[in-house]
Amino acid sequence: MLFRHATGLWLRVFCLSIIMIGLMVADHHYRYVNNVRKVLSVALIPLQYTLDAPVEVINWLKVSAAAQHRLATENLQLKQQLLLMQVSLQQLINMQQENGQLRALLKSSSRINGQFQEAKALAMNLEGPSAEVVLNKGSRGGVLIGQVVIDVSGVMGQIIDLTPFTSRLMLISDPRSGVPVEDDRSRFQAIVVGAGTNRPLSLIHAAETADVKVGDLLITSGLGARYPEGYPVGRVLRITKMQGEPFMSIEVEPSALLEQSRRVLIVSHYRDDDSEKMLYKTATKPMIKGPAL
Amino acid sequence: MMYRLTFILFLSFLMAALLQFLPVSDLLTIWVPQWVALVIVYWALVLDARFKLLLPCFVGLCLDVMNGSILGQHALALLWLSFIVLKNVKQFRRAGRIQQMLEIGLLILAYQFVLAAIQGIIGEQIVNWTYFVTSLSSAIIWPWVSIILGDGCKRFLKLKEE
Repeated sequence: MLFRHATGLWLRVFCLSIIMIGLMVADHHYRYVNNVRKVLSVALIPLQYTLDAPVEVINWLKVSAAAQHRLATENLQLKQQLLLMQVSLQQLINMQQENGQLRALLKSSSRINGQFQEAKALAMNLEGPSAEVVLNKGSRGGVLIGQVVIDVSGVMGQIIDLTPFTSRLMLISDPRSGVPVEDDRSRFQAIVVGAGTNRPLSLIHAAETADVKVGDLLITSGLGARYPEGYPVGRVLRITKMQGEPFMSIEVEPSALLEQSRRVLIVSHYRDDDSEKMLYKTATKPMIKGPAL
Repeated sequence: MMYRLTFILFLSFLMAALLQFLPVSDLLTIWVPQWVALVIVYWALVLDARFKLLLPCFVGLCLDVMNGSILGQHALALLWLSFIVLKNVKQFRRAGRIQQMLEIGLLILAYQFVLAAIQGIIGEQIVNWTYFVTSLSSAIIWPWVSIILGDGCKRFLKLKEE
């Protein structure tokens, strides 16, 4: 041994601290150490799936313990719902065609031509202010960094990290997240940023004169070409006008059940032009400072 | 002996990670103790001079990857945590149960403070009071951690505790 234990300890802790701080700087500013992250995250995949197992078991028990007749009634209800959905889908297809024709006449690009991929959120209790969810589909399942994830009621967020069998979804409630939105009623455009887990989102840079009211539905505007156009993001919850501030502080309640949704959809392709492919290539640096549009 | 030690170290951290990341209801989330940090403290106490400082670093990096936090954040916090413990091993072992719990509470608070400070420097920190709750629950759970781990280890390794 080069050092005796008592003196060596200080030195070793000091050296390792320097290394760790260097690692943090490298990770935060330059993303040099992505390979370390990749290797470790692949090694940790079994752990993530193991954590999900008890929840799956409980769900399975719930279903198998449920009485036969309750399942039968549920089945009946679902069938009725499906019928209604199919009827409205017929109208929708018709309208979509019409919309496409009109847009072709206006010579504007066709919107939302969604292909979806189903994924499941792996249950996990993550700490820290960042709001993230791990999904059970990865690069082997055809997921790309930058893809948008939605659930039945609205936009959830975007994919920021990949392993072969899992991917990491940054929710719109994450402080790093920003979504370009427009008011469904007044067409006023702004950006919704996150404020942390279980907190309302906030609509930023809305001037005092902006036409926003409590209860307004905010939908994605499609600007920035990251989030596809026309999906619900949230409803305006509260508007506070502050004396001397140029902008109003507006709280937004997300439409999607951000923390509870287990079944989610990954939007695969929503536009035909090449801009999207370019986007996915440039989107490999997701953790930029400030809102990622 | 060495293999057995490695095995039980691995097993203890696996269990700790499972407990820490186990999904619980929203009300309970803030009460989840810092299991991994507690296990690090335990091993620093037991192994003392044989405790390798690369261990908290590696475990911390795994935590970082799991949490999606910046690489090195948990590693640094765990490193300093084990350093404090290693510096005060003798006093720690001599302390009574209640005093130990108090000290563990403070240690976990300091650990979380380091995490929060790093996050603050990056600029993502949202201040909250849940750190105190976590410290409290960690302190309460500490005697059980040390008893369960201690029992298992003694049987498995036939370690002599001085």
